[in-house]
Amino acid sequence: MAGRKLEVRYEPSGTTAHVPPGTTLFNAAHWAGIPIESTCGGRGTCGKCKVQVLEGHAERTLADYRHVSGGLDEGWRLSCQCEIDGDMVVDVPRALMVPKAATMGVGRFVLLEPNAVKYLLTLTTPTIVDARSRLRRVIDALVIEGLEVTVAPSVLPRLSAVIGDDEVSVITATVVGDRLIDVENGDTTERAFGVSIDVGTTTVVATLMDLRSGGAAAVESTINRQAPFGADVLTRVSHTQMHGPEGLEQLRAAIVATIDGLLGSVCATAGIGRDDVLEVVAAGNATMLHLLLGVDPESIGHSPFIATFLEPQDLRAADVDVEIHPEGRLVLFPSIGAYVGADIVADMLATGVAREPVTRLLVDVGTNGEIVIGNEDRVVTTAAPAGPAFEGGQILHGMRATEGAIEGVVLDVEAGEEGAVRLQVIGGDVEPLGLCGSGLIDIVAQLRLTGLLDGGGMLLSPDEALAQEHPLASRLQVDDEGVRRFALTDDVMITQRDIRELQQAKGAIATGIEAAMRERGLTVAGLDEVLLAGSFGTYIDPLGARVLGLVPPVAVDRIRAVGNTASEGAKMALLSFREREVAFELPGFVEYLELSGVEDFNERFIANVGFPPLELVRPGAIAGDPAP
Amino acid sequence: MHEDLEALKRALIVADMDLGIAAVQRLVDRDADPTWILEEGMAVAMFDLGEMWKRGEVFLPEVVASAEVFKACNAIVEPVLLARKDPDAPTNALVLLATVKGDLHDLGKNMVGAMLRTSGFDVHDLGKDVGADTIIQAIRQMQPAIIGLSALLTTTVPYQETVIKKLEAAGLRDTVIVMVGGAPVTPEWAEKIGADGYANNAPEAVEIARKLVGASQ
Repeated sequence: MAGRKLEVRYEPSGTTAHVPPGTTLFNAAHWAGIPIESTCGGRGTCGKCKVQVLEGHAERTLADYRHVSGGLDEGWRLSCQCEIDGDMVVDVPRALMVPKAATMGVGRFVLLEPNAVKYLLTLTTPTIVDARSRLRRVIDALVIEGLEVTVAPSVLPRLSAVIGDDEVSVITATVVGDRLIDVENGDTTERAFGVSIDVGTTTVVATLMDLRSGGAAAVESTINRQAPFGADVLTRVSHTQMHGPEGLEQLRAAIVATIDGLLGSVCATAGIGRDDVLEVVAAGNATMLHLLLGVDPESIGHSPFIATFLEPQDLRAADVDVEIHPEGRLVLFPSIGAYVGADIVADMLATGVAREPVTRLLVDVGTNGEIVIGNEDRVVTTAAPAGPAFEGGQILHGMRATEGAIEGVVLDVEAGEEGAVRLQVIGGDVEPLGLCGSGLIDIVAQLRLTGLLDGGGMLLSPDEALAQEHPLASRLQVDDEGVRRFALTDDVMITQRDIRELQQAKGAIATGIEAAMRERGLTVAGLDEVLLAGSFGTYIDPLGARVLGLVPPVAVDRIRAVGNTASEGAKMALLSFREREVAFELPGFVEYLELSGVEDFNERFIANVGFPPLELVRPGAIAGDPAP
Repeated sequence: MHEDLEALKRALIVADMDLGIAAVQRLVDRDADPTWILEEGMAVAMFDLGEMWKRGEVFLPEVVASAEVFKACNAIVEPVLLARKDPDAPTNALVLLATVKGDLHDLGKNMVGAMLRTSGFDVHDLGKDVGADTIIQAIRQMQPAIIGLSALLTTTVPYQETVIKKLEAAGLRDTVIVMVGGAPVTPEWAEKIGADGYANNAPEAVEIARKLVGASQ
């Protein structure tokens, strides 16, 4: 599917990048994690990104004649203008391998090159022989900084107030992309902020980033105010289906209000004004992004699952009622498919799945389990309909991961009656109220490991457990309807029906993983790493996930919880326009597998609702497992 | 013979193919009444399986395996039943099944189909992503006793109502029993849209289908 890749080797590090024809040397270097300096943002105007082409063909461009006229014959080119059309070897001068950077995502090194930058400009006093307009003075000063800008109309009325006519003017020019959006008196360069937002169906997370330092100034998360309209994506879509434009507007207003609340709160925490926020970069599933822009997601809700837009968006935040700087931008990550959304693209950016030779499986577990598998050569993604079980839905004592939720369980058959059931409860020393997703996975895995649950998912009956003299036999009960259950406490139970719901959820994800691996031509042996992403992924016990067969059987230390990588990816795109470009290119590189189009889905799903044999997945069963 | 009938029921529930076929063959060889085998044996096992499903004691793989055994046993009983049957007696009731337009989930619908077949219904499966026009055309051609509409997505469930409305408009609503199902479907929804029946699971669907067909005859 993917076209032929060209190889570029960057000396002196010897790092190689494999990229499609037409990629610039600059972008390919960035893709491979080799920072090359530039101040103009790859526009060919600053002349700072010169590299020397040692082998391979490199066309000379007009920009090259302007900036590297002396070295053209020796192969010197502006890397941002040089498109790759064959294998190449390139030398990157050490001086270019640069400056301010931050470690983000999963150990990724990000250069600080925000799309929104404030420039401190000193404008000379106008005279009769230098009677350039105020606007021209600003534009000329920015050219010296390596920028060719267009000007937002709102800037014009401000110019006379900011630039005097008989004095030297020190002003701050705010440029977003290649657009001048503001001029201010004096030096305000320390007040340049951006906000990254992960627009989740359930939870929305906003991080205020200082664009100068690259540090986070405030983080806030809250429940999506659309929640009353339904718990999952489909019920939201269904709300617009049933209530038409009015329903759509309700959902739009709810998510805008959610974001507005978060913006207000992070700005207050950091003690800055809304005007100091120059850009918002948002990732989220396709439905959430549709709703944020007031676009009806109706056709995402049914086959053939058509989105109105999957492409990245860059618009004036004010136009969609997101209140930041009046000319500030709202940038949306692209999506890969109707059910593999922008949040997954952000996951991929933050984890480097599509950029490194390591073969990884990334699973974002939720109502829909999104699956990404592959490496720099080829990546396949799909989405598996897991249903609400992992979020506590359809589970008798299921609840969201809030105070009082059991998030971890250990069943210790060696301990006496008292210590046999050890619970980890959110909020610490509080009364356990129910089970959240990670607790659910834990208890079922523990029941399996202690022999109380068979491979088909059936709990032992109290009599069977007693006959076996199982130390936990007294915890097994049968309710009034004859349904078997295990008592975690006097009040919190996990029932046979709950276990069936979990089996269904994990069976769907396991089937998605299996189908994506098959499509990608990979076996379990070919997997270097399994990443559990999403806020829920952080809390899943890797061993439990393996015991249930939620993830393939690999050594426990190769299963990593990587946290909210969607937020990380959005932050990276905020701090580096280059990372943003990488993200925007990902949908063109990644293949989308529609799971409902997979021929034998039903048969495989049924086979996957059972649990893998214990001898294959118990602790120590796989080489590389940590010693018990 | 009662022992064999019990063995048959057990075999159906634990999905033991060899045991089930042996038991039903013994019953047929000893001239047991095929109606008795079906009603007191297989239908009871089906009912029990439904109860076990509700309690979570059997799950998808078990039910699919049981359906296979049902099918094999039915293949042995049915010819005997047909041979004995009064040629003027009514034939099996026909059920049309469809997953509605926009929805590609067919696991549940397929299970309902398998269970209905094993319980003496003729079943014609229209497939998944089926629009109202196709359904109406099929009803006109085949004149089924029942049309079963499955929808697994919150967003496709409303299409069940669309189908019923179009049936009314086509003047066919009174000629056919409409049953609805699927994970997001509730009895309240079924009632609201004027469906005749709703079932929570495949065994229950058989039970309800029997009742509804019986009542309409």
